[in-house]
Amino acid sequence: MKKCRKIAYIPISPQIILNMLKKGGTLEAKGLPEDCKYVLSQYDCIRDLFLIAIESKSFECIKEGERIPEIEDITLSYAPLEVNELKEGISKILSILVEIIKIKEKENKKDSKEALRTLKDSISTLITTLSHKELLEVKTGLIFNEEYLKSLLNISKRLNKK
Amino acid sequence: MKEKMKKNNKEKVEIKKICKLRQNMIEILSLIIEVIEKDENSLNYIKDKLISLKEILAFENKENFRWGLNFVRETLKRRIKCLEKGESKNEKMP
Repeated sequence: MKKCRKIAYIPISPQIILNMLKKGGTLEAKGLPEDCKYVLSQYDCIRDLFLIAIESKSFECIKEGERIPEIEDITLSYAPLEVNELKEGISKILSILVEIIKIKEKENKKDSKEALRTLKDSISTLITTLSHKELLEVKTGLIFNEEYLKSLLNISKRLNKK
Repeated sequence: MKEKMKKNNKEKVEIKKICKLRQNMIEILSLIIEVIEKDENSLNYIKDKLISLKEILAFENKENFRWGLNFVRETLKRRIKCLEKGESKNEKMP
């Protein structure tokens, strides 16, 4: 009786891997079963694809000598570094804003108007930065925003100490 | 030629992703400003929303990221609606 294994291939283009090596980013495969385990990898020179063989209880049993199926409902998405950079830039600004709010809250427990005003101005500046046409302007703007807010945070911290 | 077309397509996808992220962030931040303008006591609420937004930005899973942004956006929209109706004192806010 022939042995059988619950196995399938994930096809990955080397171009995606090269893009990741060049620019960074993340690869995401949707629809992978939770219990999947790595088995081996191969290279399909005709289609120029890496084939990663994985095993899972949810796959069909493939007997020796039978063609191993490829997972069709899998999508590999490449999140370029620029998107991640942008997310990181915005995230840093949000962190500083939260810190500023916390300090302002301590300063004026009853009156939150000033803190809200600072918050509104900072968020408006962030919107203006994100609205720039050129990505380079957006990136530069985010750095400036971050630096400005950092100095604002330092001032608030010093005032709070006094 | 084919490679060049592939490269161009990938660049287009990247630009599209960046545009979408910027568009989403602008929309959410504008809604936050609207809440600030409509509610003088929204400091804590805004602080929570900024923290949530920061956590969502760190999501690596694309679906979770999209869901998170939509959730924050819808919550803010509902808050604005409630503030417009003047129910802030009588009803529990989203």
